[in-house]
Parts: sequence; C-alpha cells; structure tokens
Amino acid sequence: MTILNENAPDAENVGRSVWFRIALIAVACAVAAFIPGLLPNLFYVHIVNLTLLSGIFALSLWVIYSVGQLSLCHAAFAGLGAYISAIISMRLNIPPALSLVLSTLATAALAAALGAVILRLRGVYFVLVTFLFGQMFTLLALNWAGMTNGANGLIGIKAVTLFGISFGPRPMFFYLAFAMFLMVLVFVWALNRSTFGRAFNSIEQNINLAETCGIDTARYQVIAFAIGSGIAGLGGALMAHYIRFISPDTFTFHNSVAYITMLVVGGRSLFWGAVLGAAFLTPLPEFLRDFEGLQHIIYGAIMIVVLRVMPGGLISLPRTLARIGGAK
Amino acid sequence: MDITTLLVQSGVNGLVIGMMYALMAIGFTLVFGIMRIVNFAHGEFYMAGAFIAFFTYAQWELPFVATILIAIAVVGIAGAIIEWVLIRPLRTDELTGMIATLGISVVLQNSALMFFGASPRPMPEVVSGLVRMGPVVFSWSRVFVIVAAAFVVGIFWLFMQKSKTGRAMRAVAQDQEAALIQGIDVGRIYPFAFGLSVALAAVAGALMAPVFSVSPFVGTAPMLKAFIVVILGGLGSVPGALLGGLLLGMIESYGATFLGSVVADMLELGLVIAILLVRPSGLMGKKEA
Amino acid sequence: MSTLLNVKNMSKRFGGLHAIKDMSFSVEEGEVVGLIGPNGAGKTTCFNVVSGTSPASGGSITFEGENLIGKRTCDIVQMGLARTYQATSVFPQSTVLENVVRGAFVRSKDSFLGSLMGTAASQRAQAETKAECLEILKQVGIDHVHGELADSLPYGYQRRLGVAVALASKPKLIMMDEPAAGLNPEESMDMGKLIRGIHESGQASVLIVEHDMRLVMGICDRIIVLDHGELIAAGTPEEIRDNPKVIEAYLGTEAVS
Repeated sequence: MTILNENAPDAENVGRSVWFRIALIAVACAVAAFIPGLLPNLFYVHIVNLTLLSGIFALSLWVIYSVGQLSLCHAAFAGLGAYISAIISMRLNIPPALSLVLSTLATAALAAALGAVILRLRGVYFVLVTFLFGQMFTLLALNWAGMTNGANGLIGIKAVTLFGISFGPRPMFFYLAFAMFLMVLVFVWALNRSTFGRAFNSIEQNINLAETCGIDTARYQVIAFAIGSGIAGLGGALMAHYIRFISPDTFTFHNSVAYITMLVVGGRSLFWGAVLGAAFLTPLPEFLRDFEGLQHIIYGAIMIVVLRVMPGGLISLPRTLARIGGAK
Repeated sequence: MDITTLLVQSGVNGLVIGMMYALMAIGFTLVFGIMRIVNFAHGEFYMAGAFIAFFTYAQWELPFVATILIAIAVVGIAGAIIEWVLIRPLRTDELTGMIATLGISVVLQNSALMFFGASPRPMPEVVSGLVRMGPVVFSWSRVFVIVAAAFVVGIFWLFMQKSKTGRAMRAVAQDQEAALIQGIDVGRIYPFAFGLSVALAAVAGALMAPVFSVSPFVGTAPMLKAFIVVILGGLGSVPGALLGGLLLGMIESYGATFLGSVVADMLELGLVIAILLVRPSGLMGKKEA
Repeated sequence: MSTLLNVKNMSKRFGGLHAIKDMSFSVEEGEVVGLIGPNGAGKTTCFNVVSGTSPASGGSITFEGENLIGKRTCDIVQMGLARTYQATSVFPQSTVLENVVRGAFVRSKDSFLGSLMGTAASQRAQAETKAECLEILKQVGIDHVHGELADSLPYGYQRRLGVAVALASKPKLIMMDEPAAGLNPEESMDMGKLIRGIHESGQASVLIVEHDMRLVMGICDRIIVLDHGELIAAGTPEEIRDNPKVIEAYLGTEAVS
C-alpha cells in the first residue's frame, strides 16, 4: 500500500493515469451491464450479488486493518446498518434509498463513538474487545424483541426503489450492488492514496514514530474505524433490502471471521487483496456443494493453507510463482 | 422456595460453572502467557472432551476415571501435534497466529458436525442421588463436578510448581529471553504447553458433558466465557484465571437468579469491556511491557 | 537569544520509584545541549516526559513560553519540538523518501479532499514536499538511496534516516536520544558533523542524550548531568570534565574518557 503513495509522478503522467482509470471503470461498467443477461440462471446472479456484497464487507474491513487493527465485530456493524435501515424504512416509512444513506451515517457515527473509547487498546486487547462487542450486538439483537423481533428476525423489508425503478429482483439488484461496490472500491482506492491513507499506513507500520511525525494517531484510528464500519453498515443495509429478511444469525461472530478469512486469503497488504478474497471465497461454498458437510472444513483448511504457503495471500501469487520458478 | 434455599442452590450452581470456566480459562491463559497466542479454537477442544466422554462413558461404558484420562491423553497429544504442525510456522505475528486458530476452530467444529451430526446427545449422570440439607436440595452430580474439577486444578497447580517442566513453562511465560539463556528448550515447551492447555479444556468438556448435553457447538459458549474470565483475571495469569472463573460463575449464577439471564449477560459483557478499558492487564495481570 | 525549552522542577514517578526528581534546565535558541549521566539515570525518561509520551508527575515544562504538560506528542511536534528514538525507528516497508515525507506530514500543504480527488494543487503540494525532503536527505547524506525500502538500509543509514524524519517537521528544537549508539567511530564522527551542521546552519537547536563522551564534548555548547534522576551538574564541556561530582557519579559505572 505504500507503493501507491510513493510515485506521485509529474502532472502530465497523472493526467494520463486518471483518464486511464476512468476508461477502466467505464469498461467495467459496460461489461457489467451484460452480466445478468449472460449468466445461465438467476441462481448465478444471486451468487454474483452476494460476492459484490462480500467485496464491500472485505474492503471496509481492510480500511480498519490498514491502521493495524483487526476488528472481530465487523459483522456486528454490518448488522447495525442492516437493522437500522430495515427498521426506519419499515416503521417510519422512509424510502429505502434514503434509509441506506441514513443507516450508513448512523453506523459510522456509532463506530466513531465506540472507537474513541476502545481504540486506545492495540493488538490482542483490541481484538478481544471487538469480539465482546460483537457478542453484545448478537445478544441485543436477540433480546430487544420490540425492535428486532428477536430470533425470528425482520421479514418483509422493502426493496430499494430509485426513480420508480425497483432494485428488488435479482438482476436489477445486481446493478445497484455493482454500482455500490464500484463506488466503495474507488473510494477506498482514493482514500488509500490520500493524506489519510498516508497517516493510516504510518500508524500501521510504526505508531510511535507516526505520533512523533505529528500525526494524531488516536484521531486517525477512529477515522479509519468509523469509515470501515460505516461502509460495513452500508453493505449490511444493502443486504437487508436485497434478501428482505434479517435475523441475528445473519451477523454473527462467524460472519466476522468469514470477512477476516477473505482478507487473509486475498492478501492483507493491498486493498484489492480484499476484493480478490471475496471473489474467491464467496462462490466457493456453492462449488463445494457436492461435498456436503465438507465445504466448511475446506473453507477453514484453505485459510490455514494460504497462511502457511502464501502468507501474502492470493495477490502475492504471481510473486510466489516467480520465486518458485526462479529457484528451479 | 425460600431465600436460603435460593442462595445455596445458586451458590452450588455458581461453583459448578465457575469451576468449568476456571478449567477453560487456565488453559487459555497458559497458552497466551507462554506463546502470546489467543487460541480461538480452545472451545473445540472442550467439545472434543465432551464427545470423548460421550463415547467412552455413555456408549462403551468405561469407568468415568478412564474417560477423563482418555480425554486428557487424546486431546493433549492432538493439541501438541496441532501446535507443532500448524501453529508454530504461523507465529510470525500476533494476528497471523490468531487467524490460524480461527481456521482450526472452523475445521474442528465442522468435522464434528459432519461425523456426529448437529443434534444434541444427552449423557447419563456419573453419580446420582440428591443431597438434602434441611430445605436445601441439590444433586450429587454437581458436587462431583466441583470436587473433580478442583482435584484437576490442584494437580495442575502442583505440576506447575514442583515439576521441572512446569517451572520451565512459568519461566518462559515470565521472560522468554531469560528462559532461553537459562537453557530452557522453548521449542519443546510450546507443544507441551499447548497440549496441556487443551487437555484442561477437554477435562472441562468431559466433566460438563452429563450436566449439559453433547453437540458440535457446545464449545462456543465456554470459550466465550474463557475470554471473559481471562480479561477479568488478566491475560496470562493462571491464578487470575482461577479466581476470575469462580467469580464469573458466581456473578452469573446469582445474576441469573435475581436479574434474569439476559440482563446478567449484558451486564457481564459491559463489565468486562469496562475492565479492559480501565485496566487492560486485568485484575491480577502484570502490566504489558 | 531566547529560551526555547524551559523545564522547571520536573519530576516523574513510577509507582514508588522516583525516576526524575525536581529537574530544572533550559535550552536556548541556537544551542547544542548535551544530557549525560550513567545508565539508568533517567535520561530517556526525561525525553519521554518532555515529548509527551509519558505524563509528568510534577513541575512545569514550557516551549517558547507555552505549556507542554498534558499535551500529546503529536501536538508537541507541531509546536516545533521533534525527537528521535534510541533504537532505529523508521517506517520499514516504505521507501527512504516516503519516510521523510511522513516526517513532513503536518507541514505539507496537501489537503485531504485534494489528495482524495488527486487535484492538480495536491499534486503540486506533494511534489513540493518531495523536493524539500530530498534536500533533507542530501543534508544527512543518504539521498542516493532515496528509492530503497527503509528496511533494507544498513544500520548507520537507518539512524540518519531517523534524524531526517525528525528534521522534516522543521522543528525549532530537536531532541536526539543516543544518535551515535551502535555506530562505529567513523560513523559516529559523521553523526557529530551532521548534528553540528544542523546547529550551524541555524536549522534547529539540539538537545542530545549520548554515551559517546568524545562526541558530546566535541559538539555541545553546554552539558547537563543527570544521576539517579537528579541534576548534579551543568556547564561547559570543560567545566563538566573537571567537575568532581560528575567524576564520582561515573566512577564504578563508566569512565569519562
């Protein structure tokens, strides 16, 4: 991630690369436009949709990881966003398109408040406190039945409608999810090369030195936690209006672990490792369906094997292969 | 039911779960103290202990003592091998080691699910009958769990104090470099400590199997509690884990009796988060260097 | 000459242990001041308290007349008081130049929104900061390796990089914690020249903790001596060399050579 901050080249070059990236995004959009039509059936569309949502979760978790902190309550923030958006859209009759935005902001605000208190802890202690917070969320979602309907969950959540177009059907939701994913991706990319990204990475590499560089490490950690958790809230809210049903089971500790797995398997050092991890792991259980019962074991095993063989994750694959090739 | 009965029975229940938490937390904190690893798979070894108890005691009808010994041996050896093969190469940094144990947890839990199915299996009591003391009534099986767990903790304590390996483990936990200089083979201590730690979890699982039932998911809650206990008692502190376990068991038992279990659970989590923030080293832990 | 750093009756306790007792000293503009004392005398603790990493237990600390007590390290740096660490402290996975750019973080004219959008103004600001940082690297003599990862530098270069990072914040006073520790005599001399250069070019005043007596005696205008958390002597290098109290403090621990 540092390399991206490195070469701020001369203006001319930058101009070209910006246009190059815009072109890349345009091409991606053009290809995306045909994806729902090209897939053999709706089930595949569904898998692609879930993959895009996972991509949002993994990317947002990476933002928190980029200050050197591992959050074990990422699913709880996704759940917060989901519940807030579902509840305000159902009870207050707020259009889902607006409740998405509101729940994202509310989740980010709650994360900032929590982060201001817990981010003085680092390493295992931070991991433990986020783990406990995740447990608290699950307990709350289960027991605050008046709001959350307890273990039965909320059903009949409205689909997102924008300009009279409903993004409820799977192929339509694909466009919404794709747009949101792309927005998050571009935002995280830009964030990473902004002054904030530089501060985040300084903290990750050497928090004491970052502080003596005049970087307000406490503030930037809260910012990273709020941004990451806020985006997770957005992803959770999107999911709520897509599946149209949420329950405490959707946002447990195991989901948080799944997001971490995506980060690890994809590669932790660069943000697009998160994307790669989500793209690889989300459809995987579907391909492993033939091995009923084995799929989760394989899931866990892949995580350990990747850690063992490719500590850098899938994004380091070319380098690993090159090394092996060079050794021969 | 009058208040004395309530108080005594809650106390006995508190001691039962408190001892279980202590057994879980002692092993958990031991591994953290020595290896600086948060073992997210700790609960799966509890589950393994429970299953071993179910098969050896309920199905093969071996004596319960044999059941416990088998659980210790099988889980202990498996733990040592897991440390040696899987965890050791991944101890490069705190987070990587932690993620590895998450993976191990997923594999173990789902393996149990595949082989044994999800439905909980009841297990017969080891000792039956009721104790009557005036109006107070509780079952012998609870007393048995408390006594057996206390016995195991006692043996563990003696081992840590008196044996050469136990002292070496404490030395490594205190100061790894100093231990290395003294010629302690840290490379051999790790698998041993890990095996010992998860064997204690297996004992807890075997002892509690008749009290609760046996399923692939039984390890999750005790692990969660072990987390809470070690935060209470201080990460890495064995006496802290024992005291914290008993304290938490009591708080929970009385809390559930007088406040309801949901409120008690929420209060407990809130309390622990507060402790982490004010005194991250726990009630009895050393300050992190 | 005006007073930059003014420490009055500063004390620091760890539990019952008095690490620093009633310590008073000042650093004037344009000075190089040495802080010496046997091991465990409280020198690094003194740095930690002044730079805000560890709170003072009593006394007052001001910088250019402004109170420092209760301020966080990052704020103190922004006021113009930078420090380096005893061991090497760099951003290992970043290039040498990027390390220095991070040192200049608070001074950079780059804005968050500008850099997020990648505006021309942001590009210009970054280019400007980079040029300045290259100058600093030239000054410490490692500009030829600006593209390497900090991790891959030899130890001596990493120490210089640490100084460059501190200089990048354009401090008025720079506190150096044993800049020559672990350096060979030749490198140590170069470090002395570098520190002298910082001072002579009028860039910053220097407060330096150092064990290498030749270095301290050679570059400092004034020396203060700490023993068991107490200030036992202050004066010119010549005065310190002949001070019986200082000699006593060092006897049995290490000789003043």
